[in-house]
Amino acid sequence: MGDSNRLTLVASDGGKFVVDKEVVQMSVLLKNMIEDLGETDESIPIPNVTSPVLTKVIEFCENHRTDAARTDGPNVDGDDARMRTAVVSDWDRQFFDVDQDLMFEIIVAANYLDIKSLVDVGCKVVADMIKGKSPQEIRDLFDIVNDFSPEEEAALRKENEWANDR
Amino acid sequence: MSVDSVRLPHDVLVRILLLCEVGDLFACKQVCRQLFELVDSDVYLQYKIELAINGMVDVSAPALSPGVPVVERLEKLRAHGERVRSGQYKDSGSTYSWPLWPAVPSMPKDDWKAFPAFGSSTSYVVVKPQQQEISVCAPPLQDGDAGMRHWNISLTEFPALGAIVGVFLDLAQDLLIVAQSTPDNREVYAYVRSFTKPGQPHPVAAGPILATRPLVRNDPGDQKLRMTCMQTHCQVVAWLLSVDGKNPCDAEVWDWKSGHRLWRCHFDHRVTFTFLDRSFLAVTPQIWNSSLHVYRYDPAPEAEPVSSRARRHVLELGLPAKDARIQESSIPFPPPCTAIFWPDPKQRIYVIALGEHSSLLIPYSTFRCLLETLQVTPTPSSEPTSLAWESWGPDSTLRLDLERRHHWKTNCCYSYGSRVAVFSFDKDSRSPDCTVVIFDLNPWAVRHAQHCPPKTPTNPKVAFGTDRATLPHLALHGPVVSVGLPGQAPPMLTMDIRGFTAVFTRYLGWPIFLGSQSFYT
Repeated sequence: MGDSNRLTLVASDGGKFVVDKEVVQMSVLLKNMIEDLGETDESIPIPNVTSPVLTKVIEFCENHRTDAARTDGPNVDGDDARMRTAVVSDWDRQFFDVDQDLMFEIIVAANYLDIKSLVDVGCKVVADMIKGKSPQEIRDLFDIVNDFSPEEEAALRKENEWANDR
Repeated sequence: MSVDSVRLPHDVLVRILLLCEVGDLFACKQVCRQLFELVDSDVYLQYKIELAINGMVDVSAPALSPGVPVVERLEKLRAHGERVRSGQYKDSGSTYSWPLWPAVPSMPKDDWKAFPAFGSSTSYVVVKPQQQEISVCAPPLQDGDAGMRHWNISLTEFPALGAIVGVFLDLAQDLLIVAQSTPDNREVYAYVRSFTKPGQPHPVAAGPILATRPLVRNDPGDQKLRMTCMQTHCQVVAWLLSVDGKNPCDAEVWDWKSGHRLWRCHFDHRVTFTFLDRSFLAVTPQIWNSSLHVYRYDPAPEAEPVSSRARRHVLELGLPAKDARIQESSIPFPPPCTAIFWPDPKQRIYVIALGEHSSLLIPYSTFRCLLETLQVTPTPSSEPTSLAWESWGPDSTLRLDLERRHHWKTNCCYSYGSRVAVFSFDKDSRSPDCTVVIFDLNPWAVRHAQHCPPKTPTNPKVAFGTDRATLPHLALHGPVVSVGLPGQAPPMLTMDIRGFTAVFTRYLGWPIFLGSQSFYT
């Protein structure tokens, strides 16, 4: 402790992570929290995120700390922020080459911590996984239970026939 | 209330779905209740689907301040799509037709030259050398605006050099280009001006003049230079430079903002050409053996020598008939700042006239696909990749053929996004009526039409012999237009976001009337 440029994050399972302040501030949630706290030696608890997930999130932020400055530029805000797309690098793809539960947990954690670039990249990776797949293939991929009745499913298939032609 | 079967928060799921392609959204709807309800209820996802069906892209953000809410954008787009598909075009008739010579002049103005310009909307330019004036007419910007817009630009704004050899305007970019030859007829100066302040150079152009001269000149030098086929795509402008409008000619591409010439190529014969995108252009030489040539015009500026005929010539595509002419046309982008959605530039259609009775519609995606799969890497010395018609064309273009009794006009059809309007008329009839048929090659529009058949009959498919075509397409009946002479179509048909405009001329002795009739949804 005592290094004002570093902070300690505590995961839900008690795991401690000492991280550069600059890296932590990529999370809008934590950035605001630090500003509210002012100079402090206290560690910051992150109750919703487990150690394995936090490890990955920090890994991503460490890797992307240099391009953080770029996102400070003019940004499309408000409603239209939802229309933006991410550029996924080879490193990002490797980063998300993990089992699916962990992948989803990383995205959920990034969403909670409000780390825009990680949410963008994660969503794009999932969207790419869905690309070109049939409804059954999507269910298999994400382990989703088909909760339609057979009649509903048949009606849906018929209704969407025009769109499924590919 | 549905059970959450996908382990992600609602807003993350929406973000993911927004990044999916439209086809994937329809697949997701059939996965489970949660995704079905999400796709069906989220206004952003609905807007995304509606944009695809209408072949549009959203252009409203962030230029509009405080911004149009997405709910309103969706409503407007749905209403627009309904009107287009119902084929209920309104004849805006006299509102937008204009006599350019309203009063009988004391003497015929033989030296007046009139021509259309399609920078972003249909406009008409008339050069009047004796009056030292250029007149420009354009349709109103939006519904509700009063009538045609007129401007008169005095030629005294330009240095008194030689003759005016070409005029171009792009209303969206406030760009006026006036080309004048030098008095010795050796060079052409293209003035880059603001349309609203023609006395001054364009505010974003680095230099006021683009000066050029023919690469090869064999005549004694007394014949006039001409600048034709002018077209723009954002900051790039292209034209043909020729001696008296004859062959040989040079095709040139300039960045009008920086004042650099990006590319030029000398042709021994007449050519027609148009932009494919920010990197490539398509050229059809008018020689017996028809083919379409793709050149790369970016990125190197003037550094390398420009003398080579084969310069960055990447693709040579065989065509199915002789006498091919590609329609030049500007890519209408960027859109006016008031636009919310705009035809997707990636869905553009290129029109190639193949003689009098046949025409070929080529989607931009066909070119894109060829360039990507062949991975063309041009070098100044390399030979272009050559493909016979059979190996690229029949499955990825739409050929329109009319029986001989009918005439139709394709050499002046201007596509708008994925839609092209063409005239069809009976050449033996005494009637001046022409039927307008609108072809749409947007695959999502086609699929949607199969799901919800349009109210207008689709028999043009049979008439044009496209019912057996492999490329999905949609044919809609437009209204009957009678602005031509009996047995003749009006000279031009142009499309824009709201519908189309028939441009016509009438030679009723003097005065000559020029005009247009717009049909808007």
